[in-house]
Amino acid sequence: MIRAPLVKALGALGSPTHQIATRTAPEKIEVFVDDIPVQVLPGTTVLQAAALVGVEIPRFCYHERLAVAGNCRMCLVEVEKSPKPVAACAMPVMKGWRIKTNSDLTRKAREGVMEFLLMNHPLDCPICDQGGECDLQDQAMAFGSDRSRFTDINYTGKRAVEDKDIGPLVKTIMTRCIHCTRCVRFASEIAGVDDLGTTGRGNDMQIGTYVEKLFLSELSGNVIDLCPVGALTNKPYSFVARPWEIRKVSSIDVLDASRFACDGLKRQRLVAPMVRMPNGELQAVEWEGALIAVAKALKKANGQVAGVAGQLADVEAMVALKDLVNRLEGETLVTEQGFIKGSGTDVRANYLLNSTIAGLEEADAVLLVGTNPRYEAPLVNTRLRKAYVHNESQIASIGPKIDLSYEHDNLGSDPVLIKDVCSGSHAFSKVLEGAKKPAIIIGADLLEREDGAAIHATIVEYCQKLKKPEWNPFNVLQNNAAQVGAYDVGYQPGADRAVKAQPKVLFLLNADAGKVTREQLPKDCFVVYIGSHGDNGASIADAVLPGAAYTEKQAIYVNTEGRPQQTLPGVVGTPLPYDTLDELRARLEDISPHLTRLGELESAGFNDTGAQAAISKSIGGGAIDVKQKELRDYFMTDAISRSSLTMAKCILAVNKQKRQDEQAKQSVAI
Amino acid sequence: MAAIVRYNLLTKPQLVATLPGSLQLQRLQSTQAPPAGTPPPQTKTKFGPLADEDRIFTNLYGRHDWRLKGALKRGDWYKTKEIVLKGPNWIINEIKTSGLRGRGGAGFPSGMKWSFMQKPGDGRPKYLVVNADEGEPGTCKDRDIMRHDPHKLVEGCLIAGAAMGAQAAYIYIRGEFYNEASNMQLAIAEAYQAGLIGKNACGTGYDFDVFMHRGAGAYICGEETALIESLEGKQGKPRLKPPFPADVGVFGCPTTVTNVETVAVAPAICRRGGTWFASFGRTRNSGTKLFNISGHVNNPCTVEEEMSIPLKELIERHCGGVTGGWDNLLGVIPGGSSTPIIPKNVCDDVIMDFDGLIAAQTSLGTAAIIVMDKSTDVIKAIARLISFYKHESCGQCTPCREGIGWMNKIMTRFVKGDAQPAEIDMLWEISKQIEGHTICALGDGAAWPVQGLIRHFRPEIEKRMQQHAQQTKRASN
Repeated sequence: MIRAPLVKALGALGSPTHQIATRTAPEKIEVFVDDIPVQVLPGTTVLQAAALVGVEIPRFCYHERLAVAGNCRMCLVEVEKSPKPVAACAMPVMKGWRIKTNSDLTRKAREGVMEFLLMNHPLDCPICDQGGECDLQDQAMAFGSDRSRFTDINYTGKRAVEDKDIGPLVKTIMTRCIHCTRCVRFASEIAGVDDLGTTGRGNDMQIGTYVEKLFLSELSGNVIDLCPVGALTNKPYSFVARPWEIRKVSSIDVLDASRFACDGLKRQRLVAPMVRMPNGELQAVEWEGALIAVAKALKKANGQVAGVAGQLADVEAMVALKDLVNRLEGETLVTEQGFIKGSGTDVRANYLLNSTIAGLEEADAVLLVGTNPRYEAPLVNTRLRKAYVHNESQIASIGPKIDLSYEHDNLGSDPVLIKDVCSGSHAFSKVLEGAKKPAIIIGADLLEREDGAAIHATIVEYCQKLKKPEWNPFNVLQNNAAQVGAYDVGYQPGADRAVKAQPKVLFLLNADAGKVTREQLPKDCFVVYIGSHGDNGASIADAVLPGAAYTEKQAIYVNTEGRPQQTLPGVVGTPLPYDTLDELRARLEDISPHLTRLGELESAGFNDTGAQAAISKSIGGGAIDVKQKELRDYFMTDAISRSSLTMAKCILAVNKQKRQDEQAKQSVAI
Repeated sequence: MAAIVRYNLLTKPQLVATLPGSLQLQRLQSTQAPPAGTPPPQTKTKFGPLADEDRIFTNLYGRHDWRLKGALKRGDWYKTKEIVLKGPNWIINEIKTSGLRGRGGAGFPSGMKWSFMQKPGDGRPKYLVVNADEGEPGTCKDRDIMRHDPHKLVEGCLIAGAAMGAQAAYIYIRGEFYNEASNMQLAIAEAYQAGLIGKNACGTGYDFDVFMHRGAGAYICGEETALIESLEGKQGKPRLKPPFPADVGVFGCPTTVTNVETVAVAPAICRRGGTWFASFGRTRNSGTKLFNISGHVNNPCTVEEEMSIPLKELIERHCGGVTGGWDNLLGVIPGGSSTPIIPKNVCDDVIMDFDGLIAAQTSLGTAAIIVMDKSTDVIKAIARLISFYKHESCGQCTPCREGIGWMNKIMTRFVKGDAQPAEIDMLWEISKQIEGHTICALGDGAAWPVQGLIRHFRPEIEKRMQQHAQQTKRASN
């Protein structure tokens, strides 16, 4: 666990570069990059100054989001009057410096470093998965020598390093490693696990996990992208395709679970419409037959129609289903995930992460109630961790004891604590009240409880007190992709409402969480499942209409802070016809105009929540819990990841690691 | 180290230009006295031998009691209170006047270095770190101070610490120095008990602690920033500079890292005056110095001598000469393993000080003289040193990690002669590709011995290659 060095905490008191950088209204200084004058703030590094005039300095170890290591030495450039070349990534510029990024000295330094890097690098590019997107390859072409002088290849040969087994996601070929330590810095700074490090000295230095173990992080897959060479590659994807053979598609997920669960998109798929036969078996039929069967059931239903949207349903499909159900005079449209009882979803601010994900970086006091952001929303968690490391943010949680990758106070799991904090009598209240940007984050699952509404109301009321201009401390962390979009287009929370309505026809739109069971429904209820995977939903359906998964269609999802995002068809499958989609989007605009403004964030007025806060119920019930406590709970959370072999391997690996740890502990005890 | 290089590169007009305006004016008028802290001009032309009464380390050979009682008898801790009470400016001025340059290898002017700590404080404590991680092969001066004269160092810590306004001193001692660490710790305990350090040290009202920390045996931890990292409990890997330790050092606070010998001579300088110390050695190379002479001499020893003494006189007077006589000399590594070797014809009249050895394309380093007579396989000797540097490279930055390993491979073949003559130039280029391209000076220190070997012993390497080629030819016939 690291915190920013004391220097950062001291701010202005640190090195002279820090001193200048943080002084109010610093004066810009002039430096020359290849004789082009540029005005920069004091404390700017040579590399940043060069970037300002469009000169890119080659680098391996430097990464904008990570601490500067300065160890690859690829970015060495000549500075006039300096006897030695300087490391551009780390050296702050001084007034009047003349930086020469293309002089003989600079080129020679680069060529030298390149030669050293390639000396022990296996030139196995033809069989390397990084080939085509490899920094070393590119820069060797641009800056390296055209031949090798490594005559010792005929004597002792190159260095060879044993591969490490760090889990089912990341494949290691350690001989290719150039020791840039990006992965080590990512693990300790961003992911907050000090699992990776260096052992050995000099030529024997190795990147690894000290003892052979799993790289236990929900963000482990990111080191694959960070690795500038082919030392860390994607294990499930190895030898599948070349970078130049695939297309780039913008989408909505960057986490281990969804990134590596992509093999789940191919397995357990529903490929043909199916209808349940009298013998109880689902049988594949033609589309016509299936649609007629559904239509028959709908006619008989007399308006007793209901719809349940699951966690992966897109906004368009939900609007289409809503219109269909409404036209058949049905009213019951709900999401699988519950929320507070009552009319909590009428006001948008009630169910959003109002502080915004990026905004949480600035928060200086955070209370987590019944949520484990590390696994429910790892990206939110990295922001919180950033706030902790760089902003000295104080973080506390109410719920079970969990490892969040940063230090926090666990106040306990008694729900009464919420009341204590919100009445100002708890010690942490002082922290929240004294903070410039306090934030309270409630897990969406917690609000499903009987006393969810009371918890919600209590916290909303307290947040009224805590709010600042331009800052809304009230946050709900939704953990389903479909959730915010569903509320936005008018779905009600909680599958139990659909059960209560006792419908004759029930549509399950990607509803796979198993919250609606056959036993709860009337015997004659006709269940229609629309979705992509044969999971809980399809198993209870009378008719199954296969659909596209989120990677295969152009669809809108709304994230937990209320930002609409669009996926684009990626792999295979037929996207919906465009004219229909446009019509659907037009209809969508009628209901919730903000949803078609992709990427933009519509602020949900805060004052609206005030009216809701009036109803205060008593908070009681059992201890507050979260579903995903450990890494192994993280990998299978939806229909796609449940179908993924890779995710299954992940869970196996985590369990194995756990057993080993326990055995080790026991043997120590003995 | 970088700072001294740049300082040396400046021409005289540039040097004058860097001085503040008032000083320039004084220079122009020139009739007035030079500014305070300038060493007096040297009038002597012959240096050495050092008279017994001018020796600072009077128990270098451990013939007397090293504990507090013995130390007091030899004049340690005498009027330390008065020195401390004279204040930081007086002490630093005295060090500047003495012309003392760092004894750890780089030779940075100590008075200037200590004065960097005098910047107005910002609330952070300041620390003095004493580099007792004496790992340079051939060097054995600090260990003699610590085991036979530890009170000199403890007293030096107090005086240097007082000059810098430091709160505490950390002595980072090499892990292998078990007995030295033991003596050192006892000396610190004695000084605490006698009230010489600790709260109200020597009755001056100044609180000063001295801690000792034992390293774990890595050569790289002798590099100042790696030493700081190690002291903080991390892997001993050098930090990027800037920020320099004087801004952000140990535990993020302003720190000065100095060699044991530099600190240990400070009390004597303060007691006997900077001008006394400056009366030894040539200008800019003042003082007395501990020389370690090892290798092919009749009587290897550590000896305190005057700076600027000729190498030949040093060896003949104190070591009983080279084995087999001066004419049997092959070459000398004059400043610890990282400095380039010089052959006999250079040794004949080289002067042992910073400038004299720079003129001979080598360096004074730690003044650890390794003498090799004609029985030495000089290629093998240098190959062994490169193998040492390969083993001790921290592996952090590319040129050092990969480059030294490569040099080691080539040198191993050179020992047998199993290489092409063209590879000598390649080796030279590789060493130049390492030198000046690394985070710390270890890369430079590994490149220099190779450069020295090629500069002076190239025919030897070529001869070896020829022999090997002939042998393999004969074998294949």
